[in-house]
Amino acid sequence: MIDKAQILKGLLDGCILKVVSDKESYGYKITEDLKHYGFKDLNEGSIYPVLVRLEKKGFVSSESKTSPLGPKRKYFVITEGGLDYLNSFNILWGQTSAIVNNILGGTSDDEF
Amino acid sequence: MMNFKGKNKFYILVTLTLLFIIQIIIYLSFNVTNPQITVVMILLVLIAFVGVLVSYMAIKRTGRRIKKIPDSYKEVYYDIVEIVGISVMNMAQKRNTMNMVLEIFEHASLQNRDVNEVTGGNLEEFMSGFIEVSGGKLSTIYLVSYSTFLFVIYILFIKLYKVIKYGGLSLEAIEQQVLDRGIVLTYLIIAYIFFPWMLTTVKKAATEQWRGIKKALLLIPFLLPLSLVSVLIISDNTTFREFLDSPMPILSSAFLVICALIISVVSFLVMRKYKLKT
Repeated sequence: MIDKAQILKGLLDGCILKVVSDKESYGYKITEDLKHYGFKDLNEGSIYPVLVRLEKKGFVSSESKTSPLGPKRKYFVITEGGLDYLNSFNILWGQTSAIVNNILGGTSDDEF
Repeated sequence: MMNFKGKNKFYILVTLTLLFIIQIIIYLSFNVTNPQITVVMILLVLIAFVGVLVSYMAIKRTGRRIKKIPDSYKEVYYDIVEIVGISVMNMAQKRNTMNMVLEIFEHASLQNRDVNEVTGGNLEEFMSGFIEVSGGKLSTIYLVSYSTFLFVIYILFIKLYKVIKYGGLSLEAIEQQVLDRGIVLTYLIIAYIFFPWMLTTVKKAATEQWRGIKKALLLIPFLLPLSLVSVLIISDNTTFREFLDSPMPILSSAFLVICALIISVVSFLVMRKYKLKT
């Protein structure tokens, strides 16, 4: 049986950076946006650790602010380093997804 | 149903402190005349009390925020405190992780979401990402090096106690004051069986969210050190007594003491290195 978590591990960084690149966001909102795009199985337990990792790498920065609901929460924005990573992710994903689609579709580069 | 507060680690710390105090009373009851030993014993008890106090203050610090979340979230939060508590994260990482969890719970409860919807009903899986990203995963290597560190430090302490009490610090005293087989084996079992057993039981209790009478199962690992210490003190079977009191050729020279110190430093460094690696 395929390990979905392993495949997602490499993809979530780029997907989260894309969501955050549009505007400042917070953990639950990011989770809901990703679910809206199709990642139905995600919860905050999947997203928050990735945000921590992205912040450690300098791809996002965070600020604790009072939310409309009352308690404080962390809001994340993408950094310059995060934008560079996102651009590289975009390019690599485009290349890789095309190759995988070729393989699964049984076609080769030569046929194009 | 018992109003579970989830402070397993705090209760364990209190229990360990009490066990330590009992042990000191037993040692002191054997007419310890050396004031330095008494001072060391008292200092160690104070350190244990400070540990209990720090743990209690840590719980109180976030108490106000926790009070505001619903009981269903509170219970799960305290279970997560146990899981994070036995991980190998440092204090700052534990604090950051618990702040993140509390932030999630505060907002989810205000949105009237069920706690199981937030955690996916599986605490271990929910927390695995947090623990992994903070390098807090409890592994066999860490447990073995931790047990080794505990055991070696403890027998070095016992050796130091005997050397100072009976002969004063000298090479001759190091060679003459030997450790009893009973003491060494007891602490070997405590370090390599009791501590890992206690840690995994606490983790199991938290991830499976034990409630009510089931929480009493947390006390089972403590039967091991209590039984061992009782056997050491109470046993009057001649053959068994002879076995327990027989000398063990361990730390019987300055060279072996130095080797033990090196082993304790290496095991400590392995623990730290493993944490950094993850």
